[in-house]
Amino acid sequence: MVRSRLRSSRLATAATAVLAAALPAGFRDRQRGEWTSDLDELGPGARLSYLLGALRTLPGLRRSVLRHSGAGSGLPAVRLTGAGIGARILLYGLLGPVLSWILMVPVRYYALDVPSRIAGGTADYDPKSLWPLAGTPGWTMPIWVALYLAAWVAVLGVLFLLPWVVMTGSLSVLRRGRARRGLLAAVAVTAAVALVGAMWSLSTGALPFDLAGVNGIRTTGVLGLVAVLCAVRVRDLTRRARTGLAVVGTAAAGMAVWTATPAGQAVLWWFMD
Amino acid sequence: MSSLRMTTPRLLVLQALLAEPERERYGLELAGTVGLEPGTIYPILVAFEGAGWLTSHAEEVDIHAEGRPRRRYYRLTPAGVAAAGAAAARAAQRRSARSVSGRLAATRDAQRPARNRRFAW
Repeated sequence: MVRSRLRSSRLATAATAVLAAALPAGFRDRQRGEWTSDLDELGPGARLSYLLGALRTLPGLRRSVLRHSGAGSGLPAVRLTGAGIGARILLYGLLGPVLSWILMVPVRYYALDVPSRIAGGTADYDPKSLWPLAGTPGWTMPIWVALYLAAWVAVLGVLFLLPWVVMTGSLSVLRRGRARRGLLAAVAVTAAVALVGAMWSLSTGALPFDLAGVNGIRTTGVLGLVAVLCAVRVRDLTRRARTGLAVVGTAAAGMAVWTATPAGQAVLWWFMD
Repeated sequence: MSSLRMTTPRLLVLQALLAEPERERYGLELAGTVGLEPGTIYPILVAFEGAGWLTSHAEEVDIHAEGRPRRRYYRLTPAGVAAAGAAAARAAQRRSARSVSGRLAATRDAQRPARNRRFAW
């Protein structure tokens, strides 16, 4: 079925577009041109095996382009600018705390009908002992604890959120094989040290908890606005990264605005109490 | 000019390119010459081009007159000829060393008394 469909060059062309989408933006058109030319020469019978071979070697091709592109290599420059790397750090770093906060705080608050539990005074409404932190298999607990802690990071303010965003974002960019690996690793380590230092200061009382109080979520809102600005202004972003930044940034800014309303404050106090 | 890890497909492509260093070839043609599965040669060509061993350019043809899309042609650079030659020589040396040590091991095995020989099942 697929084989017969690939006899249509239009479908083969669409398949090359899908494959090319996985390559760095600056290299896509060139590689798509090569695949299209080869498929045209091969003819309908061999197209499927050609595309499967291209799919199998796609990760290697992507790695080669990212590793070797740039000045003096002969390949088009696909390395990211500083602004592009910064925008991606913000995207990957902010994604965890924002998603975790939405899932662990307002979604649980309304889905588990916490206001009725509080009003009734009989049922348990402690966020640490409600589903999914209770009533789920023990082996899933690391997932829920990680989400719970990431949700806390979103409300703890600049001393926690900023190092968290920089550390997790830099590690994510590093894992994706981007440029400036040494610098990114150094930044991630520095941020990790700053995060551990902030946690240690809070646990020993050296850092007053007020610093990480209800207003801490404003930091998330500010970083959200920066993310939206990056989505609009930074040039070397893929469509996916740009959309992600806009969505995560809007959600983060929305969180800060919503928690300033009476309804939002009630939810936030429930979570932080 | 960076050095590259040499795998068997990379060596095969290098040998094909070194056979006629002045000749320009396109990816599918080169894959056919070397015997690689079509569609799998581009990571190798990109690595070579990234290392400065190859140069490439899109052919300048009227695609309507030709009735086919443009091809991209690859050719070894002068620096690439030297680096590729050295890499191919190193690989040949390694192969030869392996074959010599294999022959030596076989000779040792043959000279060892029968009771000490290991039997491979």
